[in-house]
Amino acid sequence: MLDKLIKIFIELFGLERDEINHDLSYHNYDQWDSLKHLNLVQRLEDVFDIEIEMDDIIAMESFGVIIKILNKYGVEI
Amino acid sequence: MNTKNTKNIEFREIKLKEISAVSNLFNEKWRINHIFYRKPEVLKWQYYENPIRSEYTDDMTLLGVFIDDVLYGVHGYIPFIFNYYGKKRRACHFCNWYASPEIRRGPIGIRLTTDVLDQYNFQACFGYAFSDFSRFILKRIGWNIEQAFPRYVRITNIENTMEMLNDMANNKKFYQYLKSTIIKTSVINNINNYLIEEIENFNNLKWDNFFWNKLSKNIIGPARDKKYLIWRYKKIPIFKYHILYASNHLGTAGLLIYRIEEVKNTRFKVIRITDILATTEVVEIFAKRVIEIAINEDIAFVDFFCTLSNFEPILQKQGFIYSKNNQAYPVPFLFSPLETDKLKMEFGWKIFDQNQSLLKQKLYYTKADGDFDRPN
Repeated sequence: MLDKLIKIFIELFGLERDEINHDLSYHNYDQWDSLKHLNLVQRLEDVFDIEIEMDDIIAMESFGVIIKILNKYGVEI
Repeated sequence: MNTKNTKNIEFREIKLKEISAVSNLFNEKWRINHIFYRKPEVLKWQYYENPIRSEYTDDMTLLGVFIDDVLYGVHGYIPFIFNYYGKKRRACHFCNWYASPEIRRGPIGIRLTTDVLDQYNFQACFGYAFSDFSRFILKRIGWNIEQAFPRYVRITNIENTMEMLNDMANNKKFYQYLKSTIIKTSVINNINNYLIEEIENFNNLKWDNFFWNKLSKNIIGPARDKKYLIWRYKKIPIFKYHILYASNHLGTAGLLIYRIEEVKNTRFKVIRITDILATTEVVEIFAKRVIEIAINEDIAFVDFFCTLSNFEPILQKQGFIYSKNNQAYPVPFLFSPLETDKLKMEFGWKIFDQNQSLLKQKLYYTKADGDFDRPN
């Protein structure tokens, strides 16, 4: 599952694998803009077959937090 | 572009004394020289002078995004009384949703919307849905998105309309189409039962009784009581609206409100109807009167953005064409400057916990609502 999540980040943001870590956040990574955030939500929902609630969409501020949120939806990473 | 560190971002309502920061944000970053929003007096009217604003906040009904006390984004809401078949509910229009590029990170734009919704328990919401981003968010929170605001159009001068659109020489088909819409308007038998006059203001009208007892029970939408009409049409610091008042031996029979808009840097004008509040038979009499005014004033066409399809058979008899079901009428609606490639306004709406499709048939929502009535 972690590989799937990393693949989403690589494809969406054009990052190298070693650039992705728990601290990667929209606060410190300029390319993570509002539209990318929406694309990210859509990709997560498609790939993991879940529907993310609005409060969680807003709370998704970093790669690490996203892992915790996915766990809430039964996606074990 | 220098992006801002968004760690210490603050969301809060904007104070009246901060109004110039809002107009600067609009004018410098968003819509340079926008007719409305570079003017603090328009912002004050829209977000502070609203008749029920004080029931929601001591500040402006405008949420701001600040970093180190500098304003980087806004989301406006205009609360209003929502008429629900004669009962009063609470609702709002969403307007001016904007985040400066430096802070367009993650879910900041989304938070601007959800913070407003979370704070107040509005039972209906409406708003412009002009971008893919806004449409995505609004759909996501359960709003209905209309690709085109329904619009009634009555061509009153074909030559002016064609020339205005710079289409006179090269589009005979369009000319023929416009010509086919000009019909001989039907005779109205009871026209002499009513007195139609232009009035200057609403002060002497016994309007609320008529609105709540005669009109409100058959429709839903922003309540057009006297307080609302005065704020909407007389206190607005831009535009002159004309008020036609109908009466008969029983008293008030209706109002029609319109303004004449000049097409910037041309000799052409259009009439924008913004409200028709009348019993069925008076609607047609009003329409006929407006067409007479338009012809006398050499107006290219008359339009009326309105969701209520009940007017269709009545206005049709006076030559209005109704564009609904997301199909736009092929004449533009923005005139300062004329934008010939823009033919439709997208908008979103949600009435909570009700059958949306059923409600849609009874919804009376017009260009007068929210921030829809603007020239650019």
